[in-house]
Amino acid sequence: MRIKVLKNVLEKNDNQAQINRDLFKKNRVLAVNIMGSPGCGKTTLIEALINVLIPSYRIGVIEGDYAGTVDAERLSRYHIPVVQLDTSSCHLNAHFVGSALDHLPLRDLDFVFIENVGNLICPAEFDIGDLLKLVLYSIPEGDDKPLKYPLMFSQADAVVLTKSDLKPHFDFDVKKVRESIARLNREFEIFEFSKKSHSSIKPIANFLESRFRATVLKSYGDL
Amino acid sequence: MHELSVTQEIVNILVEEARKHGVNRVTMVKLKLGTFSTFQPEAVNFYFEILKKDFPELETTELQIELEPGRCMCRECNLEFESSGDMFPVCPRCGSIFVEILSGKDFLIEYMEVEDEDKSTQKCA
Repeated sequence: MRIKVLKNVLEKNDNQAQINRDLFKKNRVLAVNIMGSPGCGKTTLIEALINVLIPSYRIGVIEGDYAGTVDAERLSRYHIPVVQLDTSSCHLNAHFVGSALDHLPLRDLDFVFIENVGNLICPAEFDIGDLLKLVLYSIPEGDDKPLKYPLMFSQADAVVLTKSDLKPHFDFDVKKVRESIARLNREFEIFEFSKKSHSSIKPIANFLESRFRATVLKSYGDL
Repeated sequence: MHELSVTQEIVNILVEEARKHGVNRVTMVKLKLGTFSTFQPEAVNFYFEILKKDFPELETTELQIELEPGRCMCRECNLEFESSGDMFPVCPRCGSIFVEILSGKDFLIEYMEVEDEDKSTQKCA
């Protein structure tokens, strides 16, 4: 006998992602999913964003790591709400993020930065309920990454090329990267960032601020 | 590696469905995997063989994973066409490389074949 099931395998995750997304919207929080390889500079970028945004905005962070609490300890000096998730998995899923939201004062926040597990494959498959996706990748990783991890780059609202001060030392073609991503992604921004250049964080912060105003304040203002 | 959690989800759904319908034994499950998904059928099968051992309903279950072609649309000439795998499809009409992927990322459990308990009882009788 045949029994029809017709269920999406990721249905439970997707349902929880929608719950998370509604919660962010209700609290007028821009939740930013920050993805990229291990060591590409995700935590460094979050630190730079905290430094430049914190006088005007209230920020919380969810740290997703396969093991340990290194990143949460690193962020503790900013005295902002940080939740460390020990995923024991190669990606964050919506239920992990949902459990972290119980520990964040969402009503008193403007941005939640969600640092996903360092990985260019798995996090792309699991909706966590974010409202914006930043994909980071560092110059030493090479300019062929969008060709190797197309799903990840196809979803990015913005791509940040990190460690950009190393460009003189590598044959890294930014134009090629832009063209590869444009094949997959109709609308994305591309930024270059280096920890050594304090001004390089500004355009990224401006982008986030404009998205915050355009999406969170305008669209969800009536919720 | 992310196939482990997705296979766990498949097992959960199958056990739930089997119990809902009062089924003791699921013999086969048909899944449809979008061609643009990153999940590997071999890895799903590998994890399924391990995970199913915890559930008597799934003891003899075999997975049949069918790859489903994705739908694409050319951003230059608006042609809609099927593609079976290349994440960088090229428009078959105008040759444009700027192509929108419309579908083909889903992973669906379509149906399950189960042992018909009533019939087998009748046969025995």
